Amino acid sequence: MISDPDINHVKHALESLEFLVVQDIFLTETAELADVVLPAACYAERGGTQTSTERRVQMWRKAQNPPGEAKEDWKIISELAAKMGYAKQFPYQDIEEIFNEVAALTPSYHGMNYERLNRPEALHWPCPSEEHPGTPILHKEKFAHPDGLGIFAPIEWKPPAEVPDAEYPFVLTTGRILWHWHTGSMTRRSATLDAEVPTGWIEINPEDAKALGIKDKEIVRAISRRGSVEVPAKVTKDIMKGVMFMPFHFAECAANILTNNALDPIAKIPEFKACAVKVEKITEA
Amino acid sequence: MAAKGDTFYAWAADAACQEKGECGGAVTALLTHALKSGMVDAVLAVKKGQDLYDAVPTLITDPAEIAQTAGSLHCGTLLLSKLVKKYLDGAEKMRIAVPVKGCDAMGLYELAKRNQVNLDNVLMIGLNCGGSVSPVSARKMIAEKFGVNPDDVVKEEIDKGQFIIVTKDGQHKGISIDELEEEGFGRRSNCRRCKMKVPRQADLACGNWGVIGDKAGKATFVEVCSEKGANLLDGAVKAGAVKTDAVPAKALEIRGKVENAMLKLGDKWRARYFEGLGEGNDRLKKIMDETSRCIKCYACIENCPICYCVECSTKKSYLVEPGQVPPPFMFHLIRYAHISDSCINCGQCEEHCAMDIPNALFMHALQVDLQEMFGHTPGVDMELPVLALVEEKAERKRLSDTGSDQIFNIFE
Ligand SMILES: Cc1cc2nc3c(=O)[nH]c(=O)nc-3n(C[C@H](O)[C@H](O)[C@H](O)COP(=O)(O)OP(=O)(O)OC[C@H]3O[C@@H](n4cnc5c(N)ncnc54)[C@H](O)[C@@H]3O)c2cc1C
Ligand code: SF4
Ligand code: SF4
Ligand code: SF4
Repeated sequence: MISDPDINHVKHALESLEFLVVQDIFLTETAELADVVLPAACYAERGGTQTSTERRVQMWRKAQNPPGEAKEDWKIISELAAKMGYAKQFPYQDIEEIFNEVAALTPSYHGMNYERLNRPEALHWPCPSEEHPGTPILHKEKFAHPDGLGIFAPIEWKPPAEVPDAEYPFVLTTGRILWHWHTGSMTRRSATLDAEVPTGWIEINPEDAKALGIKDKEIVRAISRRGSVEVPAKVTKDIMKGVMFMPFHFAECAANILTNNALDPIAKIPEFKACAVKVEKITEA
Repeated sequence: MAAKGDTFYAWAADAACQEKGECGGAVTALLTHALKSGMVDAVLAVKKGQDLYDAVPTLITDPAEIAQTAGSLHCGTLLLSKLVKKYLDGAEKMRIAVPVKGCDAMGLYELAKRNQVNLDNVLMIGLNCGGSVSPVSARKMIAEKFGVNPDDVVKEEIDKGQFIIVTKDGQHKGISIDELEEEGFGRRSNCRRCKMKVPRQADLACGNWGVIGDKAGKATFVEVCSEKGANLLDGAVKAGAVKTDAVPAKALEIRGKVENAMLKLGDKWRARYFEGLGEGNDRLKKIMDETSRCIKCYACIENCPICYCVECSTKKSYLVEPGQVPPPFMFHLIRYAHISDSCINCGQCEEHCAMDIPNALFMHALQVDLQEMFGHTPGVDMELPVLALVEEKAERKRLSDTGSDQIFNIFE
């Protein structure tokens, strides 16, 4: 309900579901719409491994038990599976067993085990055998094609699905800021981070602001074809004329009410980085 | 009966402890005796973690576990003082024995001045300290200068001006620390500038300097620095846990010479580092340039033994505008104003800095200037500082009542 584009549409879709289960460590905006919420364990309350985008498989160590009724994710899934009649397929007693199964079934993980992962650098996949040192850098000497050469394909530039026009004259781009992560479900609960940045804003170039009669820190209304939000203006040279920026972490001025859910044809990533908006002064009292 | 100022050669009576200890295991035996005899409720010491680059502080209440902490970890750049405040209630409810390097001891005194640690409940076994090497730089140094895989090293020691490593196949390799440091390796920069070589503000000061003849490497030179220290040593000897011998006159002289040479070396490094910082506007510019990398992660404040305020001024939005990275320079100015006359040059603010800003160098340079101006030396006794806040609540009240931000009226 915060990180997907076109939130009004997301809300409509989630509310139309027959049954919604959310497993999270906090009662998030999405969890509030759920029929059942399964309280999960946070990173410090569970062991296991995590594979990052750089292909590093790192071990997590449990520091304390989850609070209250919360459980580790693998336990929730195994218990749920047992209730659904699949106890035999989910017989796990601990996380290492699960990892060993992952490693046995995934060729690029074959060489990994807890003993090998138990060091600061951990291991990068592909790591096909126990003797293999892992692959921190991929395609270092050659690419995976038979001749060892990579194929580079040019891509024709295409405009975003929605471009500015007379009615919605600005490009809105969205993104993260240093102080908060994603939906803010964790970082906005941190008093320290909340003291640094308590809410969102829309960045407007000084020339655009002047033309619109908008002052720094004034609450304005940002509108797209999908919805509108009230948000404080941040008038700054850091943003180009004709473009505006909003961080997307803040439910009370959610950038994704405005964004467009057009998808990349292959990666299916939504067009978070460009849609068309207009900004108005709020005149009524 | 031992008395303040007395010196002894000491070693553990227990053969296993003698073997495991760095120089005869006296410190380990003393700690064990302190715990066994009920002099203290717990021991806070340092043990080897994943490897010898990983020094892990550990709180021990079972005397049998103290053996794990025997031996010196020269990559143990950690500071024990603030751990006593943060995690052990400032030793308010528990009597704790702690082996302390100079910086650990100085940090404990500064925290005690601020009512954050109760020194009555702390038994300090001082360790002479020539310096420690940061783990990352040690690994790099061993790989590049010694040509050895850092994971193959089973023991490191600092002896006769050399950094010596022992590999798993039993090879010894030593390189002079001077040579290593000329090339940017070796001890941390704050350790190079450190002049707290024999921590006499502890209850005992122990080390290998001055251990000569057949005792070399097998005994520790112990200087008794307080009545508490004398009682511990007497008790341990009486209980048969520690053996002592008289110190030959020649040994005393040698130890004095080594200590002086180390102090001179400290002066040399201070001159070199402080001159490099320049003076006046040049220095300010250098500090402003370097701190402009700051990401406001708070590691410096979190780990500084002088920082203890509940209401940190850097979090007041009227002083430091929130949400900015790098934070306005005021963020650093507040620390210089609040800390500099009490900085003990422990290096934590530099060691932990995510952006490798030489914070300790800046603060130490200021501290040395202030010491010259006001004659106050931090960390050696309970004398209160001239400028630093030691009573946070009273001080904040005074500031808000008078509307003044002057801590010290220089016009008086
Ligand atoms: C970083 C470092 C540098 C030193 N440099 C010198 C020197 O230049 N000259 C000199 O005369 N002596 C030095 N010493 C002291 C010397 O190495 C011996 O510790 C001392 O002689 C006592 O020997 P022992 O066998 O009685 O100690 P042990 O019985 O082996 O006990 C050693 C104690 O030191 C504690 N310890 C180990 N590493 C650290 C650390 N990084 N920080 C805090 N505590 C730690 C352990 O927990 C243990 O309690 C140094 C010690 C350290 C830790
Ligand atoms: S600052 Fe001084 S006492 Fe502390 S580790 Fe460095 S040399 Fe030793
Ligand atoms: S300012 Fe840095 S070097 Fe000085 S006492 Fe604090 S942490 Fe240690
Ligand atoms: S540790 Fe370094 S980066 Fe972090 S707040 Fe301090 S100076 Fe800035």
